[in-house]
Amino acid sequence: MASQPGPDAAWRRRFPIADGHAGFDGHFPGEPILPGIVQLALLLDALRDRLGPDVYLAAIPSLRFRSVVRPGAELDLTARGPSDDGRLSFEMRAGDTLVSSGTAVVRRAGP
Amino acid sequence: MTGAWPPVASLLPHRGRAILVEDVVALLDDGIECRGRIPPDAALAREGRVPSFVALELAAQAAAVLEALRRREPAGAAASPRTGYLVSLRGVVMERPEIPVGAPLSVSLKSSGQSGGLGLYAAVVACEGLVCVRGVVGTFSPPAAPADARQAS
Repeated sequence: MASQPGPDAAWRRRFPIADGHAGFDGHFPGEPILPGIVQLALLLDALRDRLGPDVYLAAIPSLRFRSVVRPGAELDLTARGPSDDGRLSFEMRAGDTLVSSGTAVVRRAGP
Repeated sequence: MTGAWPPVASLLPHRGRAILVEDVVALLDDGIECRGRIPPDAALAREGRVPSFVALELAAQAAAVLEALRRREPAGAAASPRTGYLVSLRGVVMERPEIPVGAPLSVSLKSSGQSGGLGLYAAVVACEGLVCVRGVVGTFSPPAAPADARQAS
């Protein structure tokens, strides 16, 4: 019998970053770079798909942005968690390049 | 120090709805205070709101404004934007899930370390007078190249 994945099991999600992604608008003319906060928004989208629409990022204990993201990139998210205390670890890669890595804490919004 | 500063659009390479800082309130010995807001047509806006972590971009832009103003201080010269990057976040806490677009925001930055183009800033962003995000923002600005002197965040 297959066991249920635990909170430490890795899960993945791929995000194609279209040339016309809204995040590139004005950021920057002639030198498009995806804002780091868009990576957080992608992480949150994936978490809401898994956990429900009321979760939000309540804390980011640590996060490093290691490489810029250009139009046409394919971002691969690998995450573990959240554990019972809401903490998860994650990283984003574009191919073999590590784009970002860190930890976050998710909570459910109150009524 | 208070007074008149160049328009923030002249200190940042961001354009249009990507610009979140509206003006400088005070330039301090160890930091800066700015006002801003999230434009209603911001890339991450949904139903009039954005996740609170979007305010971290405001903090990163305030750091870019501070660094641009510091570059002009010795001679009072023009403060041209310079390429730079948001490279780290540490100890960030979102006090509320979302913030409304268009609401007045204030950001206070205090420099907590500078080394070789890396800058660390303790940031507090308030929305309508209440703290919504706080934490340490790290930026990196490579040395200026004559043909590519721009500042990003």
